[in-house]
Amino acid sequence: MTSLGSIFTAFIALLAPHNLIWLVLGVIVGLIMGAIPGLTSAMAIALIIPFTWRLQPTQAIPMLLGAYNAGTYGGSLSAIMIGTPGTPSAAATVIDGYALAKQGKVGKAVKTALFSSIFGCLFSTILLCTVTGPISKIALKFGASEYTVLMIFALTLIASAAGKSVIKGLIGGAFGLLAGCVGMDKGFSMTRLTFGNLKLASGIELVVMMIGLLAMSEIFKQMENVRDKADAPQLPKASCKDDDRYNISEFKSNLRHWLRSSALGAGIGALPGLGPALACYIGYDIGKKRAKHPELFGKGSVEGIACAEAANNAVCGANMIPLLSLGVPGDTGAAILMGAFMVQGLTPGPLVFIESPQTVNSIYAGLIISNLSLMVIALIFWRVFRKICSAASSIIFPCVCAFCVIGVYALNSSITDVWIMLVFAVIAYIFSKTKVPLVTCIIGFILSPLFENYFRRALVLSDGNFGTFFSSSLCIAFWIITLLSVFLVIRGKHRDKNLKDGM
Amino acid sequence: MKWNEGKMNKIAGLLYSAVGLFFILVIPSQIKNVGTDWYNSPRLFPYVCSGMLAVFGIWLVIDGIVLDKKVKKEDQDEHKTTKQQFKMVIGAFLIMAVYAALLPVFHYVPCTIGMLAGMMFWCGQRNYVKIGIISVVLPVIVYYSFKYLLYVRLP
Repeated sequence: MTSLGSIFTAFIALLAPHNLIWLVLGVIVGLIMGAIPGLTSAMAIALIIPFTWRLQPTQAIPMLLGAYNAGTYGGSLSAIMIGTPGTPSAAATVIDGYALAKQGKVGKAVKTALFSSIFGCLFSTILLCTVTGPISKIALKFGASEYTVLMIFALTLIASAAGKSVIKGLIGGAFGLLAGCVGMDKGFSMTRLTFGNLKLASGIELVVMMIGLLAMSEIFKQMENVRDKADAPQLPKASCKDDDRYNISEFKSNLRHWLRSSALGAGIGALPGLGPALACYIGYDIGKKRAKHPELFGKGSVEGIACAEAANNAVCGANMIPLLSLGVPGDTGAAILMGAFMVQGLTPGPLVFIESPQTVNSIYAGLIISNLSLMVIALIFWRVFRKICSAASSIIFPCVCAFCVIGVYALNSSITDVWIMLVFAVIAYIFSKTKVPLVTCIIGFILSPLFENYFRRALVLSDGNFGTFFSSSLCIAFWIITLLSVFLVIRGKHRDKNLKDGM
Repeated sequence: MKWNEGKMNKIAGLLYSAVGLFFILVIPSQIKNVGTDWYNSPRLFPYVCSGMLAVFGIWLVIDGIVLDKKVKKEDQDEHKTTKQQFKMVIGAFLIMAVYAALLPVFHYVPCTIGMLAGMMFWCGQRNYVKIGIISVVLPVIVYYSFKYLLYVRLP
């Protein structure tokens, strides 16, 4: 366990103005980039890196961490205000965040997301400071079989997120799983379902798919009646001061959700390759199952936002666990951070705590102070975002279309991505007309490459022996959790059916 | 266009099962057979996913038939989309499609000016000053921000 004294020293050093200014700049850049659909926190980090070459490690590393953390939160601003996740990690926040914003409670939604994100990241940072060693040892025990069973558990989210009609949820999930197969087969390096298109050989980007599925399709749906409310603001005004406030009572009711979702997010962040997009859905789903009023989820529930945001930001701190202790990045953002750390003379891996203890302490201090900076900056500037997003529908929707196109194009400088986004927008519009939940499609798409990769690897390593999925205590534990999850879903659907029949 | 839940489920189910069957049929031409164990075949997962899509589509059709038998059509949920609403959506899609087609040919700024102006007009905005200012200022700001601040190449 790192000594508190050395962390405190790093803390004080970071608060010096010539260090703090860079962290604050990183937070601002990350917040803006995260809020614009298509420009993710990973892109924010990549763009900041050249500016950090001339900085000291105690300035550069906190700046990058500030951008990483703020970018993950920033996605929730556009998720809440325009129904478009700015980053994949905010996809679950759209469900309740946008619904709450449509009720005139933008301030409440934004502040809930902010405090939940801060709690999640601080929780995982404390874990990072205290239990990096033991957690990394558990993470090392995860082999292909354990990951496969974990993915099977994650697939039960599809049934859980299906809503009223399980069949339609499964259709969405199956479509998402199929869409995830497009691209290059990892085992044999051959193209699959590309229909001769060279660009599709690298697969469909999650960001492109998500913007098409969620943002553009929502705009198309809104287009149906846009002329009736051309000059009306896209977001209604708050009806009372309480609509913009985050109350003590809400804090108390969310605390247990924060703890649970942060623990889940930290667990997922500690496992390489899973990422905050999966964490937000798992946090949301389990929060819904454990809530006192699960029927409110999806209709503007503050708890729904709390669960999703605490989980996704908890990944930020926890991603540093495999990164620092094993030299394995948890997601794309962490991979770019790893490159930046190496430029600053920090070599992630088991020896990092011995070779560069001061720099490691700046990471801990950077994560903590970036959260505090994020809180101050977001509380000051969220009204600016709201002002922008409250413009008339006939102005805001075309502008959002323009940002979606530029965000998608900027990923790979490829116009094919724009066409893919439009195709998914049409598919999502058809799904919404036939009441197929889009969430299940996204979950299927996220899980598809992970599940297939680990499943095939596990069977190749065991020579086709399916017993490998029952061979370790971790596998058994995840099977039990999976069966419990399925039982809870079936019980929930049965209860809903009884309620409906009873009415 | 007015559909009750049962009819919508039947039509949607047929559509999704057709998509699933389509992919099952094209997989052999799209994915090479590498002669490996079945669990490691690149075709396995796509077959499973498209098979699931086809089966769930048929399940949805059956669900629609059962719903029609159990519940009267008047008592089922109704889904309405008028011709005007479809026209608005198709118009918006066409504007975006033309924009995407012209982007590689022409410069980013004029294409985006045209798209923004056209889309705002299509959405019912009739204040030409607002249309003019926003459709010119926004693409210019975005272009210069991306090109000179972020070093991202635009068309």
